[in-house]
Amino acid sequence: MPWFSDINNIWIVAIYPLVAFMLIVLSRALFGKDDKIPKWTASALTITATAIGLVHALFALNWLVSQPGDAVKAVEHNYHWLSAGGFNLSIGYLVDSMSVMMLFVVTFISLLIQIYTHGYMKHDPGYAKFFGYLALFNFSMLGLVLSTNLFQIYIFWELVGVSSYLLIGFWFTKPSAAAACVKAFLMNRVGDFGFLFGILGLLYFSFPLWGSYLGLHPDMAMLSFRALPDLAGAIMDNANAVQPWFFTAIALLLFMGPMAKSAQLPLHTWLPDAMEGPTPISALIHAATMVAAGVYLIGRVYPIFTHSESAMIVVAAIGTLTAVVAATIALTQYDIKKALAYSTMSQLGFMVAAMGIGAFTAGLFHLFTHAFFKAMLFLCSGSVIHACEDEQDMRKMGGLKDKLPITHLTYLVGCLAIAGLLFSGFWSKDMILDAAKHNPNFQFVYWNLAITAGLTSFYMFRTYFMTFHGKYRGQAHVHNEDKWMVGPLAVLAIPSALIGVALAGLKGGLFGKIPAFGEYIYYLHPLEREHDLVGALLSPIGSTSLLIGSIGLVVAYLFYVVAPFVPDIIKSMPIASSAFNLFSNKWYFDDIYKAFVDRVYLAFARGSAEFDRGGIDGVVNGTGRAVMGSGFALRELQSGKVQTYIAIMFFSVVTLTLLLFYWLM
Amino acid sequence: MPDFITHVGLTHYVVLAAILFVIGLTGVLTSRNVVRVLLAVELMLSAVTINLVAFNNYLHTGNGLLGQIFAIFVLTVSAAEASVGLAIVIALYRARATADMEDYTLLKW
Repeated sequence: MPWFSDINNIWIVAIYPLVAFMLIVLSRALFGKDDKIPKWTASALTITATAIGLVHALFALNWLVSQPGDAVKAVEHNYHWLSAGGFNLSIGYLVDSMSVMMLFVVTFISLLIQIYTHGYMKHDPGYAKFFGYLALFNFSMLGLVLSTNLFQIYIFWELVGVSSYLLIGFWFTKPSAAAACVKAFLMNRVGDFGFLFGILGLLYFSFPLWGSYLGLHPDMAMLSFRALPDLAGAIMDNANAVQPWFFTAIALLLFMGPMAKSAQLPLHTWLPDAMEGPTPISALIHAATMVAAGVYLIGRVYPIFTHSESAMIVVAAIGTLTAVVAATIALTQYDIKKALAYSTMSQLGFMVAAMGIGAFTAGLFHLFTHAFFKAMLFLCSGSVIHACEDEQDMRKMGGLKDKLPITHLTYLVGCLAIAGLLFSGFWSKDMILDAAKHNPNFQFVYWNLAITAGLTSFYMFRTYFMTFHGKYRGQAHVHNEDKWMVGPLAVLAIPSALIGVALAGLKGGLFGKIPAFGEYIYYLHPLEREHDLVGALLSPIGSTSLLIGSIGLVVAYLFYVVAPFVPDIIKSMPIASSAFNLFSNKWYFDDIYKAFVDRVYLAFARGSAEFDRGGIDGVVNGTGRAVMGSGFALRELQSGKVQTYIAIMFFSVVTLTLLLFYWLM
Repeated sequence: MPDFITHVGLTHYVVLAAILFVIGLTGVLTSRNVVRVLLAVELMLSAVTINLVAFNNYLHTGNGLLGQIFAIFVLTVSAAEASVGLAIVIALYRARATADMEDYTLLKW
């Protein structure tokens, strides 16, 4: 299979879904309605495209693992796109351990979710369109993963934003969905604004350096990620020549992109609302892949962050805050998808915090494991919602474990994984906590994240017990599970349970070649993990997080199975009730933004509109009116009488001649 | 007897030409009839011709008859011009049924 094993063919992974998307869109345009062509062709096209992509990704994984030596070679190829003076734009593909990891995650999870989608959207009139959008998203995400430089990643960054917008608003006749997709788009605009400025700022300071650098490395492009480790120091010197804080500013501007895309404070409010989209979308885009793109981007431009300590501290602080705030909000949610959305946000906070404290590989490892178990949790919630006739409120569920046995088991696996109880989430979260604990500057990160881990365990098991245990509290007739939906769940349960232990801490062997997960990087200085597998379990940090996770589980069991009246009692206590109000109102972020928009922004906009109407339009219309008025006055001169013209001509010539004489004398 | 009566010089011719020119101009500006305007234009042309002859005679004495030849050319051209002018006048009269300058205001705004 030379086609698959040639690593230079990897770019085609992104092209397959693009072709599928084009075919679906064109066939819809050519044949009009969906039913002229059988609608399964759309899903068959998309799923086939993703499946072939997965084969490519597996071969790429094999290529990575079979590399001799510890250092993993990167393959980069750039195609010249356009140039202006010394400025060149390139599009290409970059294969290294990070992109191969993401390729595998995206194609594998996409494939399972697309199969699941067939079951979930079977009766939806927009079935074919939905698969077209899915293919578009896959193209954008894979293109983002394979990007070689900041310009290219920015293009695909926007493309995943568009796919996300289209898919959140897929049921756009529902007002809440229409509002949610616009909100997601606008929030991401704010972040992308900063991101673009960061790219331009970086280019501004690095522009003189690229000419000679690209002369030495002809395979690279301008603003290539692979050049950043070499160039970051030089760029910083260049920036320092202007102002020392410019480099920090660039790093933080670049960070605004991930802040919006990965739902970090304060640009996070779109993610919970994005749950208005169909559940497979929540699983694929808003849990496993797109929201993780922010963390991926931080990983790609990491040398810029490591050169600015203050930027790293900001990243760590924002990640930690997000983790804590999102976890507290998740405690109070009754909508199963909203609870999962806040848990996603909290876990993204873990990843960003890991990046901020310098635990680069731990952050990416958590991204990797989180993608599997969070996608699975969302798919489980979709299965539950589907079975309960589109009911999302957990207060109207309960006791579903007998009716939905496979969903119940896989959800339990997912909860154990995210709560850090031995399944995959434990290993990656343990790595982050370990890294934070060992860095004396970041003790606050460690303590906050450790507490958040307990909260995570509590609110996840809260959703689990409310949904699957106790008595059924709803009115809807509960359907049986759909075989198209539980199949992917069962497959996803395996990596959710085991992939952490398979990758963590193992040096050498099958996965040792993915250098990612065997060691830490603190500010680019590698630090070996102290413990092997069993050692990690028994180490103080490992056993502490196990203990915290178990406490969360037990408390959730007490609150929601043994004594369901306890939460209400706690809610009625004075301090707890105000805390509960704060959490259930999402820390008032939405209200603050709404007040800001209503009071400040709209007032400013009205003022601007007034200035536009009065000032700008006044000047423009005034000029027009002045010209018109003078025209009306002057046209009287054009009487059409030749004799008048001659008289004017004659006297003008005489006057000019006299003047000429006057000046000459 | 003052000198300017006994001796006729260049000044006399130039003054005569200027007087003729102004009479012609006054005719052009004040006449209502197109034919009169045409006549007045001929008068202005004659004034210029007189200048040509006079200047040649007094300032270019050794230089042959250049001014006189010019004058004959001007007369020839003015004859042709008069015929074209009259043709235009007839065309105008046919179009507007009047020879009054006041009524020729087609180019008015």
